Amino acid sequence: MKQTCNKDMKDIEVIHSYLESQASNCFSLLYNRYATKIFSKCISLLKDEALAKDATQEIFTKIFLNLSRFGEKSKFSTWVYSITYNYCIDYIRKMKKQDIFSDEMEKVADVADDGPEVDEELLQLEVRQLREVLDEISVGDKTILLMKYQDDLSIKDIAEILGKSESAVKMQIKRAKERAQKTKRELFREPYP
Amino acid sequence: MENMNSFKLLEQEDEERYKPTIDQIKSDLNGSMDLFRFIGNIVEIYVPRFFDMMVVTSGGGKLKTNTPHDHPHSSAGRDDHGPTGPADLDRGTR
Repeated sequence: MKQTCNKDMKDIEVIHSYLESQASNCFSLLYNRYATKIFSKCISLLKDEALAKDATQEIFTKIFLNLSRFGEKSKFSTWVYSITYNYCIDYIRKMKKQDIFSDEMEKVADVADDGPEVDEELLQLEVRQLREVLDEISVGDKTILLMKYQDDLSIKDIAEILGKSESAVKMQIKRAKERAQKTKRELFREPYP
Repeated sequence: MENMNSFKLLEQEDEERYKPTIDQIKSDLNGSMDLFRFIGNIVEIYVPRFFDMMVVTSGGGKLKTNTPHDHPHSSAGRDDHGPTGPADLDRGTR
């Protein structure tokens, strides 16, 4: 069996090596780097383990069959996340027969970024609390918060993935944060002293 | 160490939680990828042969390995070749 990739190689080196040799260990290496991230996003958005499993398998098949088309214009991780989010968004759109991003994303004025103190409340939540908050908010809000805080995607990248303007993405993030904070306060009310 | 906010910790927790499922998906995926490779190999080997056979059965000759490009001055088996220079062009108009 051909062994051409090792774990010290960067994603792009692994991709070139895989395209040249079709070696199974290159495939394994990319799979091990991204499978859990993809599955975690799928289960978070689709809320069903069996669906998330099928989605992960289909997304990986798509990635490997289109690997030669990866243009290196963005990071490989951004390309992978873009395929993952678009797959899940399309699936939900088909099931619910409606857009998961509300009309508020259209025609918005430029929005100023919130200060770091606004993020702190969400970023310092306990994992258990965050899980409950994410279960309560809409899929659109959840998607955009995961893109920003879990994947560290830039506003430009998010806008490209969702096919929206940068101002619209900023507005959606701002509103998603507000709604998540409100949900958190409702779910975990501080007892009066 | 990377700054671990609650979202990244959630992802890390999911990684531990779903490890067996991820392994199972990998073995299923390996099966699919092997199948794709197998089909790819079949297509690569047999499709050109199939078209070759179709050409032969429809009355055409089998493609020669020596193409006209190997012999730029040959007429590639054709008796009636086109003009090769100004003299030929003059001849064609007469």
